[in-house]
Amino acid sequence: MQIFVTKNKIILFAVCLITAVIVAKLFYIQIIDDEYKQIAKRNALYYQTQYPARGLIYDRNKNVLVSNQTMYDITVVPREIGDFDTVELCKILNVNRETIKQSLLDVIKKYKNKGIASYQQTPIVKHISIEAYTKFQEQLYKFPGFYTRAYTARKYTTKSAANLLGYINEVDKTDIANDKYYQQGDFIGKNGIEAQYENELRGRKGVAIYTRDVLNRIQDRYKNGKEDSMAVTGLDLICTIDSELQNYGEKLMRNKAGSIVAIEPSTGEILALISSPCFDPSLLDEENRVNNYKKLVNDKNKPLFNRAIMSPYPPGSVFKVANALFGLQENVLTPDTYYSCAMGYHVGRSVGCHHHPSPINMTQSLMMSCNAYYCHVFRSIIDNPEYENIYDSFDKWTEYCSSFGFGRKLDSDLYGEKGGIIPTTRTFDAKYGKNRWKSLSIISLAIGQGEIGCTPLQIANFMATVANRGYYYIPHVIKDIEGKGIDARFTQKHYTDVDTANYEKVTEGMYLAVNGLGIGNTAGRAYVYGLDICGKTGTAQNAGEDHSTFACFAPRNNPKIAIVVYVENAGFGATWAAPIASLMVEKYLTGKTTRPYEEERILNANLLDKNQ
Amino acid sequence: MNRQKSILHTLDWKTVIVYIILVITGWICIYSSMYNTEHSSILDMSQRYGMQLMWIGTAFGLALFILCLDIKVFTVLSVPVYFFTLLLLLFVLFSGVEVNGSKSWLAIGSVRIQPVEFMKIATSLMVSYVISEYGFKINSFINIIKILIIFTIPVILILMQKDTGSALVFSSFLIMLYRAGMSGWIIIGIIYLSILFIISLLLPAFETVCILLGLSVLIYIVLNFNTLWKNIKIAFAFFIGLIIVLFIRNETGIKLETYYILLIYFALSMLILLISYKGRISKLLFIVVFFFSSVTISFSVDYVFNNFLKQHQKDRIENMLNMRVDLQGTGYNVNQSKIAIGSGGLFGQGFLQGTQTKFNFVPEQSTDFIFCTIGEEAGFVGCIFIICLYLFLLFRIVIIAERQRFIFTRIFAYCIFGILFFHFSVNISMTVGLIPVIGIPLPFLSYGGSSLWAFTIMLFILLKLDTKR
Repeated sequence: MQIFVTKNKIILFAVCLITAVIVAKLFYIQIIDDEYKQIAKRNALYYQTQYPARGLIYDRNKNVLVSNQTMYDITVVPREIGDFDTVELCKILNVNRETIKQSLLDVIKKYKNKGIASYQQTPIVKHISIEAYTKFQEQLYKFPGFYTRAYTARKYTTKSAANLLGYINEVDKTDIANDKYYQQGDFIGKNGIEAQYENELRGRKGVAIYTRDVLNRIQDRYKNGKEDSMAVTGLDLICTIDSELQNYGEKLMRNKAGSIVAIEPSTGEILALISSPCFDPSLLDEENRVNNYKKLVNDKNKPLFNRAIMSPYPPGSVFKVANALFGLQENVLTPDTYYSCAMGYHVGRSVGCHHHPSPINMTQSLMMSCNAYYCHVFRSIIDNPEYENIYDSFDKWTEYCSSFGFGRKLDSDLYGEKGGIIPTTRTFDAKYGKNRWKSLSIISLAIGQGEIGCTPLQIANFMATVANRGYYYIPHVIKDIEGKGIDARFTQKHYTDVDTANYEKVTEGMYLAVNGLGIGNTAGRAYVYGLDICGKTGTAQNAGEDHSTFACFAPRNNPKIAIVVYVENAGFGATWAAPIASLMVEKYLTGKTTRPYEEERILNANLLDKNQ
Repeated sequence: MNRQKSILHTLDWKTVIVYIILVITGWICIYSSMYNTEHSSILDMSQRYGMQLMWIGTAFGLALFILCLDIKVFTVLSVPVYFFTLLLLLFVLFSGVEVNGSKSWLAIGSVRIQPVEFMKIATSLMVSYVISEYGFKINSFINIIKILIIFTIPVILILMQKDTGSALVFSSFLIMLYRAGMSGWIIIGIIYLSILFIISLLLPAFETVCILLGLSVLIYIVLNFNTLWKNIKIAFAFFIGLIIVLFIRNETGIKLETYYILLIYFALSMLILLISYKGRISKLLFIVVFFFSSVTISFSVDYVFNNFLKQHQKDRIENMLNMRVDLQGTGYNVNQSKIAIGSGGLFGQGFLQGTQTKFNFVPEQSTDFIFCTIGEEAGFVGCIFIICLYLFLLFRIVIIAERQRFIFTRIFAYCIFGILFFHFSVNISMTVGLIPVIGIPLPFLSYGGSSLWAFTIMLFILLKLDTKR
């Protein structure tokens, strides 16, 4: 009997043991392993993404630049495709059989090559009409594996500022890898404001969850839509661009390569940012992008290269203003310092100059753009006995440059902004050897040539700094993000290392360069009655023909605009850049232009073909 | 009146209540798993849940009827019932209806019943009757043969109907036999053979031989623990020898599988040991026999598996052992079932909220895979609840069995215990992917008149017998 009792206990023990194993397994698949829950959702739930409308972009006067339009696509999920009537499909979509067949084959090919997953929605017919979309939607059940997709694409109401605005495109693998928010088929800003302000513009996707059965038929809203989420519309952006000015600038720059950047000195707001050749932003919208992108990339004039923020042009004579400021601050130059010029500076490597009276003081040097004068100034900065050696003095010089934003990124909100080039002592050590260079070796820097490159944005910011007499706001292109304002860094004054008093001294020279009629001024062509434009021409030497450049601000007191114009390979600064700049200033300040002959000449000039 | 009163007093109400809870739960689960908006009433007779209500009603009727019968009926009728059910099985074999590849259904009008479900009761009654005969001794050869015959005839008939799952249920009688006095070694032997079977299929021959070799050495050490140190020295010597043999093979390039070398080497070393250990031959001999019989079984399992089993049987076994992953084919059921249960989480998706079972992702979701609905909609908590109900029922049956004076009742109780436990553990294990898919229903919960009737009859015969304890 004793054994009998033991046996039933053994049996019950075995029962409990086996049950424990089952419970353990249940615990594992129900509580620990999350995989089954994921699969279950994929199995039975159909997640329909609700795409938000992308934020709109307005100019500073609240004109819409970029808006949205709804596009309709037909998509397929490869593994769900069943039998369907091709003829009917073609009839509804109004496409021919071959096209459908080809795109289906493409999808299957992509799927076989593992380009897309079997459960992924892939578009086969893009951009169908709303009528076709509605009709197809009704007949959807006849086409297993077919889905429709409605989404918003960009619509450009402006014909300018293509590089500034950027464009949107479907996300690629890197985008998805970088940000989990994106899924195949989503759009992302690829350049300009669209890219820079992607997070604000995109809004937040929502999702509508439906249940579906084993045959993939949509059954019902999952939990009556309790777990659905609404799409949140993207934020609207108001940019600082004056689209009228932008349009006018692009018009003036037609058939010319180069750049214009205009800034409102009192805020750092960019009024116009032109990189020429320009193109219509609609060329890169949803419907046209495929056809145009390659063309734009392969264009030898590089329209996609945003010269205004990327191209390190030699600043040329415009940089004399900077050197004058550095000299004044270092007390090696006063407005009454006279230097003589005998058609150039003929010590060491000769720097030529043009014909003008001599000797001249600082104001005159700026007005007449004397090269020799600035060779003297530069040498007095670099060979200043206050400093132990050239390394210290040159470091000081680069420090000044940096305080003006040269040789570094300004940290603007312009997508792809580059920092330009300012040489350091290491640059010259590498070139000449340690301690084997002196002020004369680097004399080109005196007149903004040599190992120096500044983007038009940096020069425009420089002009804004001079206009403000000593400080700048970081240039920015967005004025307001719907109710959120803008980043604090854009509303802080950034002071340079040069005292305000010294600015007034150079302003006089710049004023006379434009307004000093008949006394050897270089920028008389930029003169407009009553506008008090203060400017400086530049003729930047480079590998090809000189770049024509002009930088200015106006009016002299309480300036409203600072602008820089570069016209590539166009020769003297006074010939092209100065009139273009002055026309822009005039347009902006007065709303009209008074010099039709200059306007005519510039509009008709084709400087692109000249150089080819 | 007096007699009825006594039944109400002696009836094991706890069991009855658990039974009723299980049956009602089953009905709700069937409703939930088959639910669709066109037929939203649980009483809709065109749907399985409506039908199940009918089955439940008749089952309750049957239960009452059984409780009213005289207790002697069961002992007296056990022999005729056994043979009558055998005849039914035989009849089904010739004129039955084939469903899902097994020809085990008997069509009476529009109602189809599965005689195999009743065969379990009949066999239980028969075997209880035989064992409870005066002077029956379980370990006598003639009796073992008798019992074997009682089991084997229905098993063969069921196998001929291609209903392997139900045939396997008959292995649950081992529990009863163990309880009735059969040696535990037989059970251990059977478990060992099953493990050997799985290992043979799962691992390559070489590794199987290695494992068996290791096991033999282990047993040898256990048996000769007092002379362990000496044995280690001998083992080390043999190990060196083995390396030399393998080295020679590799150098000379003789084309011979490694495990054959192991076999031969082991045989030779055992021979040497046998000669040197003349005095204690029996232990060594046991190990040698154990090792070689295991190897033989293992090799023949491979051979039988590859040459005798049908493709779908191979598929099921391979799938369970994860020998290959084929989620669209044979693995589909189990995979979907795991997904459904797994998606339930702790508290489940809620009643009628399950997406996997409802939208037909899980096949057979109202019959063999009914547990998925519980797993999905009631979650881990619900599963534990159901499992606890079964455990309670099983414990109750053991308690009932142990308080019987009549051997017949006790044996019969353990038969039922075995059958219920087998169904319960195998069914749930299969839905959670612990074992291959064996098509047997979950007692009381699965849809189906035959199984509900059969389990009800079984349970209430026991309860009736128990009233006369």
